[in-house]
Amino acid sequence: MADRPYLALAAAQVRSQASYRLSFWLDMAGNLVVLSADLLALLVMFQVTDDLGGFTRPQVLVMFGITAVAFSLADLAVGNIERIRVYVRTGTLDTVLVRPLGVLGQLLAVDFSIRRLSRIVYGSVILGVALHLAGISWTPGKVLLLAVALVSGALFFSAVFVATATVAFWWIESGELGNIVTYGGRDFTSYPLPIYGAWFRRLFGFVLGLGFISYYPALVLLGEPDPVGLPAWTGWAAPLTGPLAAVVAALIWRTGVRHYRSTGS
Amino acid sequence: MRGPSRLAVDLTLLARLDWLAVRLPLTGLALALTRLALRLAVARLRVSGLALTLRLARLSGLALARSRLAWSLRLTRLTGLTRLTESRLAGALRRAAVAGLARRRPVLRSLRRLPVTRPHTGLSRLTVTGLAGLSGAGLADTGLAGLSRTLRLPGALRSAAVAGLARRRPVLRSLRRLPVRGLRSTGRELARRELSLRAVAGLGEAGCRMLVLTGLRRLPLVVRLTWMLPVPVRAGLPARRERLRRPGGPGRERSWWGGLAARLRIGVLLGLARSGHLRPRRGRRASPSWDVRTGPVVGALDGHATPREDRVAGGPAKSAVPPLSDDDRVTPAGREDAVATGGYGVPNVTATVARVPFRNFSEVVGRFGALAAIGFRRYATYRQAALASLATNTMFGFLRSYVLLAVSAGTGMAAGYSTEQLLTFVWLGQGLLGVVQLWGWTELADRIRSGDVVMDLLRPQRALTTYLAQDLGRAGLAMLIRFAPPLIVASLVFGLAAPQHLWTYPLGLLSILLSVVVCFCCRYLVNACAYWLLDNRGPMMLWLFCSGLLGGLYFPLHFLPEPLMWTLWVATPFPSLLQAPLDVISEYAGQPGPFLIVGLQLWWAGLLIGACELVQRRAERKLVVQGG
Repeated sequence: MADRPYLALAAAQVRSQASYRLSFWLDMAGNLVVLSADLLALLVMFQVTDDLGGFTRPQVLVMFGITAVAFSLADLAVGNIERIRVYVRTGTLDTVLVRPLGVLGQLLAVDFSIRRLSRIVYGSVILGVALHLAGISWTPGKVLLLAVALVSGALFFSAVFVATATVAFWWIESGELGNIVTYGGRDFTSYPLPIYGAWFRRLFGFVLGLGFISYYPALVLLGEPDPVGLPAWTGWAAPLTGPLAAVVAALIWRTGVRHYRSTGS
Repeated sequence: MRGPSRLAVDLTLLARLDWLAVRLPLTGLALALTRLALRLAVARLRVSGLALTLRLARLSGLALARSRLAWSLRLTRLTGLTRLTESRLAGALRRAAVAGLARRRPVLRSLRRLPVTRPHTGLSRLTVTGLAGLSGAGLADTGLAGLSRTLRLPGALRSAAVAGLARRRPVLRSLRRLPVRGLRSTGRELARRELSLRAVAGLGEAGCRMLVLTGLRRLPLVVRLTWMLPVPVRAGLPARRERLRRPGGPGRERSWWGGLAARLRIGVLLGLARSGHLRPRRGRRASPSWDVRTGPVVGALDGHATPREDRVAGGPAKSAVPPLSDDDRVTPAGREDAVATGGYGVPNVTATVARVPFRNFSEVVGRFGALAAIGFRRYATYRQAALASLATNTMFGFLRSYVLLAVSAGTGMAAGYSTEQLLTFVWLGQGLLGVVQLWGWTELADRIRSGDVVMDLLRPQRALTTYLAQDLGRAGLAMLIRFAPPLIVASLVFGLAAPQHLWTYPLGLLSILLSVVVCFCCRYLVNACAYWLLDNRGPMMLWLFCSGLLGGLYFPLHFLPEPLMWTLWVATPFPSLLQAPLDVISEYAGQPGPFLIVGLQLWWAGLLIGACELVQRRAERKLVVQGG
């Protein structure tokens, strides 16, 4: 199997992280704590109001849950690509480039951090509870759509992670700029689209495609019409954006790697 | 802590037994029984194990021993014996209070439960002195603690009055409980009361306001004192002045020259108080000399005032930090092996250098300013990062705005905020995020981990001061470049609410400054965990969670249930981080009001700076630099 070297690298990472056991479990717990801040903030909002943009608490929680699972999956798989800034600045990317393996794959495997697994568990619990509370009339099609939407969402977020990290090839000190679309994108998709202003919604929801991750699949699951006005089949077509984004991100990544100039020291 | 309540119970028991010892008929059996009971009580005190409790027990035991020695005197001076014991107890109590180990409530309760009867009028004095000490402890003012160390009533009252500036209520209540009529009968007690009043009067306006408030003004003596008191107080006592002018009033008999002398003395006291010369004399220990027979002036000066010449001529310039004792120096710990102590001709290393001595105020300010300027320049070089942060802040500002707009969509109001105020809240929060810098400061922790922190200790400046000054410089820079842009963007897109009142501007700036200090201290404490843990990811994550969620960044804290919100405000520093300046500047109409908010921030800033200093000192003693 062609991926075996990557798996070996990732497994080595997992073993090394698990060797400091207390630290490992503390990190797992800490990840949960940080994540629950978002959930608590959402719940506090619903203390004050009964609906957000025309959606009830369980309905918003479904969107929140889909986003949480998709984002956690992407974060587990490629979240550490953010560290590429360090590699570019220090020039250690050279060592990765000379190896007879894919650059992206190596970086992901080397920085794989298993402790983010707890976030996926956490997101799944939220999603499960939300789906239960929302009282959805399940059909086989909807189950399939949910599964595909989660995978597609994870793909989409991964693409966003990779694409924003590529900026480091041109602008090393880009700082938190990438957070706009990664963590900002997560927050954006956690809430229903109609609450946003028209230009903001169009820019982030449709041009960047963040609206298709959780909002439209959730609409289909909940059986609600779209207040924004797109036809009902949008939800069924939404998962297509995931692979599309992945292709775009791959192109950007290739361009970026070709533009890599080492530090020269 | 289990200690205080246990302490209270034991003290009550002790006092009761003491009272019994005084009251019981003089049979040998009763005496023996009482002694046994007293010993048991003391033993119980010892059992509870705290060092303080032990000290208390020892003190009380001493008092009881003395009371047994004074047994023969008891027949003639019954009340004297009681007072002796009481004053011992009071001293012990006060020490407990000053040590800050005894919480206020239990002690007060125990004091209230003490049997107050006629021969025990001294107990109210005990209450006053105890309270004075307690308030002193509350103020954490060593000067005050020293002041209340003497057992004299005037001193105690004076410290009570001084402490009353901060916490007036308990002191006032205790003063009101002084049995006025019962004491008036005996001349000696009256003289003491007069003395205490003068002591209070010696405080000037602040103390005099207390006089008006306490009911003590009923005494004719006070009416005489009013001649010497400032105008506002006199205005509060018009009826008493009338009474003074009326011939044959209930005033105490006193010749005209006696009155003049009294006025002169009070004038001297007032002058001393205003010039700040009423200070505790160092090294005076608590003594059972409860009986104040000395004249008023002597009584007030003795043990409290130091002539100016003494102070000025008293040795070299004061150092801001006491000179290092041997304990303060960090020497290589453990065995004295060759490498640690001079294997290469290197003697024991002092890890902390002596600080620059305090010479004058402007020098200190200048040094602080220079450090702040360094911080300013240092962060001014990260322009690209600042730009990226600005863009991020703007994006999240939009996100949170739309969410909060959706929350308030139905009614146009949410938890007392109008829509405009909500938007102002969000965008001010985004602007201030970079100013207070909630996240991303791991400098100290990194330096501790790498061992570079030693460099901080070798500087002739306390590490905390250096970091604080630099952080304030950084915050000043952030105010210039990171505060305004999000607000400008938001006012173009949404339209924000400008402050209606003029005083919001200075108050808002003060609030921002305080929130920077509070935030810095929190970050410092989180970072300082690395002194003990090395890996401080745990505290850091907790800080990330609490600061964002409870600080008012994600949502206004007023969205929370009322009791929870108040608990957060009073019991945690988090609302002082962002919620406080945001509420002040967006002029939120509900509780707590802007002045209370700033007050709370002041309180937390002071407390946290103290905590940082304490932590730093402890850490300097235990620091082991990694590697060689």
